[in-house]
Amino acid sequence: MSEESRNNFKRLSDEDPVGPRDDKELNGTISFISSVSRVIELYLPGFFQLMISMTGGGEGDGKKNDRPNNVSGLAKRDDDHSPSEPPI
Amino acid sequence: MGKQGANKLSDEEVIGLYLKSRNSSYFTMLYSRYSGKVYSKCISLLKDEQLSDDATQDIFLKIYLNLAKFSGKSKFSTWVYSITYNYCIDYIRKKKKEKNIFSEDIEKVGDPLVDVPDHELLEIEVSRLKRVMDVIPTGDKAVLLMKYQDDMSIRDIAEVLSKSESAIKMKIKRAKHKAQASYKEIFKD
Repeated sequence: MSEESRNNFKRLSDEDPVGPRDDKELNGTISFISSVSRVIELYLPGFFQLMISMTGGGEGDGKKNDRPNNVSGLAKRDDDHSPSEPPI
Repeated sequence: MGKQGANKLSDEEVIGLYLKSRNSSYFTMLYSRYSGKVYSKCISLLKDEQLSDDATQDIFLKIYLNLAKFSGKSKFSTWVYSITYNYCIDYIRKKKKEKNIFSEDIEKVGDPLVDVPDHELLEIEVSRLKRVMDVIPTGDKAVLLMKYQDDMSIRDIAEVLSKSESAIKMKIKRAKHKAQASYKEIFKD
């Protein structure tokens, strides 16, 4: 006799009703969740961009505070002919 | 993929395919494999067909929402049954307001000195075993089902019930005693 056949706990569920009702409602819920998450994935980044630009943020703003281009700065310093070391 | 090919896929393979493609037909496959067993466990604990129906739907929704978190450390079936038992026990505690779901909650049970041999319970005739399981406290029933029907490890059962492994071993010992005592009372063999 196999081990499974000696364990009647495994057979308990044979006495129970067959199974749950049709899964249409669950499928409907899952489809809804799936659609919502797809919409969120597609549009959320764009939504955040919009919010940022509406509150005055965005790509252009940082430029005023940016340091000037280092190349032009160096060139000017060279033209100044200022001493690199203080006089003794 | 044909139906025959799909049936040969393991649960973990189906999960992998679902997570890669997000095609809900893979989840439907898991539902077909496990809905009957989940429903059966709900019926045995909740004892109401309509309630068990609703519980099954809620449980599968939980599984769907948390599928990405399934690590594969335990079998998928163990994970599904853990969610099922957790759901049913929580329901009984909250909605039915049953606090005493283990025999030690109801009566002062000392530490059983002698462990009931497994075969004495496992070999009880099915219809008699069903009657015994119907009368013992829900918590005792749950631990016996987890151990002997679902082959869950002590560690998995401890996780489901948020108890230590030693506490679970004691609960199983007491549940077996309760089942044996109930059997003798009902059948007086």
